[in-house]
Amino acid sequence: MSSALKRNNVIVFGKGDIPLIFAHGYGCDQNMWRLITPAFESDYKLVLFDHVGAGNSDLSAFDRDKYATLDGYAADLLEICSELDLRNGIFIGHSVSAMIGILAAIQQPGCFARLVLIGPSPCYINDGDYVGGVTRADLAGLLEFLGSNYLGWSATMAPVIMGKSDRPELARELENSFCRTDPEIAKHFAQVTFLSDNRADLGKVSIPCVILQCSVDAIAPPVVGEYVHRRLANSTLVQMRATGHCPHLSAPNETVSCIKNFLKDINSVENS
Amino acid sequence: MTTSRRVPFEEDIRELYDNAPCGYLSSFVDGTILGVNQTFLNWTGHTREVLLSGKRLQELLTAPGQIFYETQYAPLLQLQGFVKEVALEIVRKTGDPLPVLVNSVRQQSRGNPSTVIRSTFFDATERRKYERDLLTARRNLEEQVLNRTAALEREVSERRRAESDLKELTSKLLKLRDEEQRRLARDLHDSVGQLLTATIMNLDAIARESSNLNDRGKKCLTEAAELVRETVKEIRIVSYLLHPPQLDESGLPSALRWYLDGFSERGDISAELVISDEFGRLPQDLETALFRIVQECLTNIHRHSGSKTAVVQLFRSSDEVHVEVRDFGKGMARELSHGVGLRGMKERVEEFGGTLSIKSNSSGTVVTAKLPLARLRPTAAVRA
Repeated sequence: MSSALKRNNVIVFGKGDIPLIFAHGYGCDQNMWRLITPAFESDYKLVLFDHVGAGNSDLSAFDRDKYATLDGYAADLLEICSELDLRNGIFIGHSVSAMIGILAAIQQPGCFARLVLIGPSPCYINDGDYVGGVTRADLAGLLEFLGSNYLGWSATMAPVIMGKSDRPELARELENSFCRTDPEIAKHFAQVTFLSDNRADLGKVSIPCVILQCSVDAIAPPVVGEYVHRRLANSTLVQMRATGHCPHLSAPNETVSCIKNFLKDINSVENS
Repeated sequence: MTTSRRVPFEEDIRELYDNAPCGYLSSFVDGTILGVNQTFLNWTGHTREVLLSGKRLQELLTAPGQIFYETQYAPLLQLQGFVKEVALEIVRKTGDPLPVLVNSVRQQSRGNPSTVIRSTFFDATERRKYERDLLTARRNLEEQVLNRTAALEREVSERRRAESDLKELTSKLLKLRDEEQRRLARDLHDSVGQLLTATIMNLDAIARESSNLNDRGKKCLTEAAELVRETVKEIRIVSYLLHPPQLDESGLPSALRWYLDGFSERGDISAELVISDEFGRLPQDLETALFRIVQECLTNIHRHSGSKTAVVQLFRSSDEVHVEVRDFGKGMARELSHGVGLRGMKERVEEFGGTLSIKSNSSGTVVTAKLPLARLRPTAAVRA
């Protein structure tokens, strides 16, 4: 297996030809798509992956400098597409990965035909008139939380992460849990995510995009969805009934129908 | 009897729920609060009416707690059906945060088609303080480790520099000694040798007039002439040992041949030289180094080994010259193998990027030096 596919634990399945590339957000891994993917398996080629540092990605590939901005993650995404020879795919990105998809689309315009942006935010931190929803103090508090929450985990996680567990029963137990990441990498990703500011990049995208906006979302509030919609020239804003930041988990049916609705003309073009 | 026993038991259950030593809270998947126990209300200061009026659990959390809830707690709960020991902070009615540890489980409620999340909350005030202390301690420790590592790295690099300075100094000293010996050898041969030759001529002149001397004078004259001739011979030997002129004139094989012959003659050790006629010339500093190595080895054999024989072998290939000195004595004592002579040899070999190995046991010692020719400086190319 080539480097990017192994590094990002890329999984490809499905019966169709049009690629759907799913990118998970901060805090989880490709498992978060498990309630969504069955609806697309028969019609599309599904591509799932873990960002470096998350899930079953290659932790040794983590590089603080490369991943100091979202560009490092966008470069990985483009590498995956290039190694799988994907063109004109549909990108589905959640949260911070929505912006990672936008950065990749700007760098290589032919890579994606459309973008599905679930709970996107170009800038999480409030800045003057701009309301991102999060303050710098909130972010500092979050990092402290991560410290507390990973304190217990890190001791038990370390041997598994290192692949040298001398307690196989622990490893088995952890295999059944999701969204476990190396604590230091998780903190780093949190900082990079919440300090990112890609508002200026929104104007550079012209391919069709849909914004799936939850009705109540502490991380990407509706006002941010509206901002993204205004700045993305060719975008549709879909206000969902679902609340929270992960509609693909809390309201998978609604999320699937929103995505299918956005893609329906693609299928009719394909079929005609 | 049965009824009267069941009633207090049911009361106990309600009592247990409301006044449990932990907070209980039930909610829909979106966080809307369905039920809450008295302990939770007591801890937070909120009223049941307010919490059950459509409030969502995440609204009770601090802002960072909300981010953590949305990015980690909620996805985990959806994916695996439970969340254990997550640290969060509830905002009390007073605005103060209450650090809690939350366990949640997703369940299908009896008689309710919706999925319900049931959570327990433990007051983690003390624990959180302890965790903060632990984190601070770990950060301090990491900092100390970093500082110590940096200090060690500095020490190591200083030591390396000192070692390299020492090597350079040793190499300079060896060169100086070689030059000094060469100069001393030349002085002895040229000036002292000339003076002694003149003395011999004078003594010869006196000898021609010896008929004027009495017997005692004649005897003294003969003895003096003999002593001076002996001195000339000794000085010649000392001068050649200091720096054999063959080394500059006809090269290493001939210098070694002369030296081994003299060594065998002077002592009671028979030393054999094995070297090809095609050996040729090497750069002057390398020839001197090889000669000194052999000289040092044979001196050691003479002084310490008790061996009656010694074999010196030299080979050269296109990229390496190889010298081996072997004796059949009692083996090298441990303290000798750390001696100054061997250290000097090692320095000489290492200066040329070579290696020195010593194998010694009760049946003899083999000293082997390998010096690469490829690493020679271009200016010190092999002389024809």
